[in-house]
Amino acid sequence: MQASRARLFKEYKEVQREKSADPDIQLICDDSNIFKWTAVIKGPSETPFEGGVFQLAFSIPEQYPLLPPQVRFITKIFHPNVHFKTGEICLDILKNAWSPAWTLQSVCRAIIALMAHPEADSPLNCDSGNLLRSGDIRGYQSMARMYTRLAAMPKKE
Amino acid sequence: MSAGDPAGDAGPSSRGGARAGVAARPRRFPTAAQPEVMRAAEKDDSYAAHVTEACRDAFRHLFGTRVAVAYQNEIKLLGQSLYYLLTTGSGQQTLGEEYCDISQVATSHGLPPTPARRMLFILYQTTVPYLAERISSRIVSRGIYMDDSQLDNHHESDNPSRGITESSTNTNESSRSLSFSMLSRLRSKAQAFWLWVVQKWPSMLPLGQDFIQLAIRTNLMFFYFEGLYYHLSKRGAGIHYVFIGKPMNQRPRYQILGIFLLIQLCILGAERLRRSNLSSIASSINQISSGSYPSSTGRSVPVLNEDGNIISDIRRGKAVDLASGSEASSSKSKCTLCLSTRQNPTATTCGHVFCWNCIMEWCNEKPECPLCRTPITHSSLICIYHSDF
Ligand SMILES: [Zn+2]
Ligand SMILES: [Zn+2]
Repeated sequence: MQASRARLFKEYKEVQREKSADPDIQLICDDSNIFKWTAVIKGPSETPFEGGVFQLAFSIPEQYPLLPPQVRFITKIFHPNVHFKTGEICLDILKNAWSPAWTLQSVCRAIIALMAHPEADSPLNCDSGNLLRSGDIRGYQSMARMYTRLAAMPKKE
Repeated sequence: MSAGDPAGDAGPSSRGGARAGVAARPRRFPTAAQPEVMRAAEKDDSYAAHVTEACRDAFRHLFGTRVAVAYQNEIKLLGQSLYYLLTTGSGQQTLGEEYCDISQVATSHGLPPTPARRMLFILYQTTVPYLAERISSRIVSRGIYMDDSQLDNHHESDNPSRGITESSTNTNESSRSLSFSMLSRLRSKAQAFWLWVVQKWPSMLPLGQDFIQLAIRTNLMFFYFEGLYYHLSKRGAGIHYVFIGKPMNQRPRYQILGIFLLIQLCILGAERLRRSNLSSIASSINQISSGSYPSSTGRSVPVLNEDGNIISDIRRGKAVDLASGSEASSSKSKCTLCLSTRQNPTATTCGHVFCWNCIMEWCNEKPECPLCRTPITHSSLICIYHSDF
């Protein structure tokens, strides 16, 4: 508990210092609870998620960093490795391949990488996975782009 | 709903004497029992959360997700204030109170609370927690920024003397009134106090939280006994409830819970007394180690000293290095697991170095190197006693 708190404080400090280092990731710690974080990430360019702004919710266990943080998408996203309803993310480093050398910041980076490189063989969103596996790249991309427009873009008009 | 019945039903044991006098006067409604008060509070919480959620949605649509996330605390404040202003503030029952057939009264004569009292309650309920949280988090972040505080200071600064000159010039420019010297003196005083608070805060924060926890628990205990004020805010505003529904003859009482809470509080108190000896020693050592660094530099004991292991660092005089932020050396000898300076550097067979505790704990979890995933065993870890990094 104390160790995790100390480490999260370090990460918080690091995030504040490097605020401008990675403009695609904005990590915000809950004011009252250091075990709850929110991240706002930008969809990577040249993917159907380009232009979208996605919100992630981090819930960090007390045994962190021995156990991985629990991360899920708040913003709806059409992606084979993200559960469409719950936002749960299927990513090995958040499960059995976790290493304590990962930080919240690098987890965000990994999630952005996952958005750019979907893994169709371990789908949480079967529709999306099936589109990719059947080779219908255009279908996948247009669906993903549509949901990015619908859910992840600030409405201007 | 007769006059005689409620006296027996609702009389809190602690006020037995006072009640006998009141009972002679005709009183129509019994004091609400704990179950109703609690159920009403739960209902109100969930309705207030609904309003907050709606506000958040509105914000998200109007200003985008980023703004909504950045101002989520303010939105919460807005939602709660809206809910209580529209219900209690306008002199009506809240939805929860209506559901449970209870109504607010302020005095023992059963009169409804005055508007001023209601506003006081709303302030206590919504704004005070918000402000407390706000100020606390602000001070914590000030503490964290102590090293690089030049980045974003508006009126506070890391140097008291600089702060004073700054503030006095500010007032000079903005207000050309005669009372400016007094104002600036006031400001500099506030400034000094603020600095003092920022420096002391890391050690005070857990204490303060403990105190609030204790206050809430004590309040709950009293509530279980006398059944008057479920929230501290209601106690502060002096608003309690009467039951206006159909009288039931059998209403559960929560005294037994109060007794348990009392026991718990006693045990906690005893433990605190026992520990206070220890912590007073620790804090005196703290003072000594930070005393050698003049407070005029604005640098306090590192923020992290709210957890035990860094405090122990201070005793060894290592955290000074940490706090003074000698980036070059500290980044080189940092442990990638706790992100702090390595304690008892320990090497794996693959050549990566961590703290002894960090890598041992991880090795219990999973026997592989956190950085390169080479398999490791407990016995292959080597603590590098004679290194100088
Ligand atoms: Zn370490
Ligand atoms: Zn290694």
